[in-house]
Amino acid sequence: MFETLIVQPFTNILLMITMVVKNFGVAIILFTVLIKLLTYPLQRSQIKSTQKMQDLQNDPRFKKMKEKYGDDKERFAQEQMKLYKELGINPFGSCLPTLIQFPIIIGLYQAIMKAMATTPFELLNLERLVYPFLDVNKILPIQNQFLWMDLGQPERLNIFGIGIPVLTILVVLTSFVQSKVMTPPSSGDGTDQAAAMTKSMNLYMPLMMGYFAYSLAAGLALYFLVTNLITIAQYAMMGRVDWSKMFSFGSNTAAPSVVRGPSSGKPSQVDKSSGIRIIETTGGGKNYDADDVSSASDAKNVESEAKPVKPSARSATKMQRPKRKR
Amino acid sequence: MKKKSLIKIFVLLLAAGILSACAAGPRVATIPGITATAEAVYVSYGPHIYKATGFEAEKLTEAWRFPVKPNVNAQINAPALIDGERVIVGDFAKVLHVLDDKTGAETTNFTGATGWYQAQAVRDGDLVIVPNNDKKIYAIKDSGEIAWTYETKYAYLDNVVVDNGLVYVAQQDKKLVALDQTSGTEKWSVDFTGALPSAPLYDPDTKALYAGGLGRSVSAVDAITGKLLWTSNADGRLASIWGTPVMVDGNLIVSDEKGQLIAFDPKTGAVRWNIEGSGKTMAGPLAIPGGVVVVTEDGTAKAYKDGALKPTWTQSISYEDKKDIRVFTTPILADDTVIIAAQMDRNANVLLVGFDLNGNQQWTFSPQK
Repeated sequence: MFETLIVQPFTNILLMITMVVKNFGVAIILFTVLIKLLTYPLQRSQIKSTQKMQDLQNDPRFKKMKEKYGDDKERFAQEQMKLYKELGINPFGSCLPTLIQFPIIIGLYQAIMKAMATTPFELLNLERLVYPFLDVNKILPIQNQFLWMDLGQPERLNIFGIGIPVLTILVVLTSFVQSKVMTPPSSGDGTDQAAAMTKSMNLYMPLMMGYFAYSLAAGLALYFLVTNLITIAQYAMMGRVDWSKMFSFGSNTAAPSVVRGPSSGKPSQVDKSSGIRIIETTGGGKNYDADDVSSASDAKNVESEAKPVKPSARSATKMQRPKRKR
Repeated sequence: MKKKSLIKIFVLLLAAGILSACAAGPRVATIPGITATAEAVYVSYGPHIYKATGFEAEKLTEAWRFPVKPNVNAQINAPALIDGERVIVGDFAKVLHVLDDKTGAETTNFTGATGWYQAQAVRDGDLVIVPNNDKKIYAIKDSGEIAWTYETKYAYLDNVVVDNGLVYVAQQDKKLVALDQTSGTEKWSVDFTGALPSAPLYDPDTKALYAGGLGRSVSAVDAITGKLLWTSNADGRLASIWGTPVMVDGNLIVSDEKGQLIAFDPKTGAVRWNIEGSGKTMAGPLAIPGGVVVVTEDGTAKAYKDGALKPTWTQSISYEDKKDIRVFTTPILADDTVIIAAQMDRNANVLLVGFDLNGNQQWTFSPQK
């Protein structure tokens, strides 16, 4: 079913592109770009939904609700749903696009795998996937040579007799950047489990991808590279990439203690007495960061409990959000 | 162990799991390679090559396996060359191994190629000629020194054929090429209508080469001059041909992907008879005395003998309670035994079955994990 609905059409489209451009490497790049463009609206909606959910975790109302109903799970769930409704958040908003994208991504991967037939058995399976209206004789065999790479073999660039895995290095680098841009900045203090896991993931995932790029066929490594680059570009286009912090190898949650306010461009400051971050606006008024206080009625309560704000990567990205005036 | 370390291990395992799932199954889908002598059968599959002996028993005995400890990066699927007391076989880690036939221990190896080996090596005088996935054919001296190489645009999938001082090569670029045996220089090449995934048949009587492929036709070529003698698609009946044709009693017999058996006049290409296919078939036909055996992918073996257009015998390959037995490898004949290699357990295991020429099962062999 999956093969007929997803993998077979994808494989045939990939083969048709190969027939037109006469180069399998270029076809992989074009096909990956095409699929990523088609799934871009889904990814965009997923990113936005994820962001909304993350923001909610820091909403004082949510925090308050958690404190109040934390022990009563049923009530907490009810209140949570109410809050979702009030704020217009669809709790499945980030899951659904991911679920829809998942078979497409798997199909894309499998189509590339199948088109790169390197053994007679794989060639037989590929021949059987080709639609009857396509002349299999014009398509097969596929020329696997792209630049210095044999796309059917693990890639090495031979320089003075030394095989350098250029594609592997590029995959590791772009996987690292991609994991950085995709990781939502943590609002925690960096010692919680989620933050530690994220940090580990950011380190190990590129290494794992590198291992696969090193040992699998170059065609797949090329696909990994193109996917990474497109994902980074998509996040960048949505204004979600902070290049200045990209290559800081410190804690993922670490951020400059001073961030620039959205309208004044002046640095925000931390109120020493309360620990609440204050961002100056052009009108001269003061905005309290929504993480710390969201309304005047809450402010008193929060102020009394507030602890000094620890540096957070989140600070840098939440500048775009509207602040409530006191 | 610290909490952080546990988290790191968990993340690593999770990432490995996800990525392994993406690359599920064997890294490269292949089929078993088989070779046999009167005393032993050699099967290359997965991470090992196995030697099995004891044809008199119902179950063969594993004499040895190489390597003893499996290397996941070194699949072995090429049929072995039995070269006197040596067994020569290439793997997917780009190594051509020379093994001691008695013990299975490696005596030497050749690491000069840069691609996988999936074709059988051929002995020619003091040279071993072996095609590789790096798009080259290597002629290697016994000393391990390369005598010559020949390069093309596509990976080589099957063995070469040597005769008349020439090396005949079926190529994926739709060409049949003849190389000089001593220098590797190209003597002639003939264009075919499709890629040629299997070795050509050389018939010393007609001094012609016969080959078919994805072009859904079969052609005859003069083995000395390279002149194309004839091409036939059997009036459009032929599907893709994955196996080498065979010559039986003056008939050139071809089996195609639909399982059809078509007999041609080797001199003119005229169709003499045609047997309808009974299932998808990748394996080529096997010539047996007075007939031919063909095995469909579902593991049904049929023998046609003495010009009969109905099978003389039919056997379904079975083993214990296995239900997913599939056959893609061309069977071989050794000492009047038809040996069929099947894949089972979702391609994780190999099964060998031996039949006598009357279709009676003689023995089975499946290596222990």
